[in-house]
Amino acid sequence: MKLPSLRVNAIAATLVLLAGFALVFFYAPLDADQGFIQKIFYLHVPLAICSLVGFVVGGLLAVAHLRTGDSRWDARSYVAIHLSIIFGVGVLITGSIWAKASWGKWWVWDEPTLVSFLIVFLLYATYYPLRYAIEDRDRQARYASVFAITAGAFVPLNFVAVRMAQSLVHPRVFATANGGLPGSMLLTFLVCLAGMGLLWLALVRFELAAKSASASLSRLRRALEGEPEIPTQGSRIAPAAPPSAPQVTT
Amino acid sequence: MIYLLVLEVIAVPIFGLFFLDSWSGIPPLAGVLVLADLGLAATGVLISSIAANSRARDLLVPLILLPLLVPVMIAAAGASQDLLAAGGPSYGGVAKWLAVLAFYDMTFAAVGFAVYDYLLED
Repeated sequence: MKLPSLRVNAIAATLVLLAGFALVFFYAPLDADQGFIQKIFYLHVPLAICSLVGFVVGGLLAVAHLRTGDSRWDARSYVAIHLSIIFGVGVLITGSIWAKASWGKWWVWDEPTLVSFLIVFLLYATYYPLRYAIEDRDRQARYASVFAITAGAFVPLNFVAVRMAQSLVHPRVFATANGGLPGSMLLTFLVCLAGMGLLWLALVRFELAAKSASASLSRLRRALEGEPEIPTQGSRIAPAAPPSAPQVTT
Repeated sequence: MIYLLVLEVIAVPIFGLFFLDSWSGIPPLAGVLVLADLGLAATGVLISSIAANSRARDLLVPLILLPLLVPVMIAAAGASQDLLAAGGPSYGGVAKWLAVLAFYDMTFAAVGFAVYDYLLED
């Protein structure tokens, strides 16, 4: 599968997100019971969906890493999980703001949706200590992938378990067949979701490009200083050197 | 796994003796416990073998395992709650919790089976 260039991706993400927010503020109707604060829904829910889907994607990329043994897949999986954690922070913050405004509390412990998201978030927070507690680079990549797969399988499972547990106050707008959501809100939501997904993809690709650029930079710098070729140490999960990298000939 | 089963064989009758007014929920409870044990064992082995080679293994295992085991705990608690309720067991909600447990066990057994080779390569 060939993706369009990063530039196109970034521009598309910006445009769709702007369109989404324009719809949020000028098109979508005000919620009857919550009024203006309900509009955070268009930020909170797409963030949550992107972050959870991103975790699963990280798991799938890790499967690709284990199957091919190519460290580029490991870097992709790492960056996907990294960005999803950042989105997860956004989910927790926007969710807290919404909860404060609509339930009067920043956090509610007896709400399965909140707690389960926190569990997933904390689980992925252990990805970094796990990864950097393993010295050997090869093994580090392999074990991190195993973790990513395990946790990636856990995310949908957790979701199912939570869906089955009864919830009291967290809104379930897509639970019923026709959705509790009127068409105009649904359209706005879908545009926001698409924009957020594009943003996630663009950020992942940007981060990957930055990592591989900084790895080649440090490689070139070492080459200039005439030091012997050391396997990439500047960035610990940088993808392997491309075959076209200049070789030192003295 | 065996350790867990032995522990439960001892602990469940004692618990029943003290807290239950009816014993009829115990046979199905055994099924719940077996499924929960399988889940505990599958994830436990997987995570321990990941963490065994890292520097901070004593810290990492509980850190990773705790969130992973939450669904098992919720499902097992949900199922046993119905089975051990005062006034005899009710089976209405048990099936779905058992399904969650079985699904969890299958998932992590399959994941463990699939990644086993990569973990024990060296």
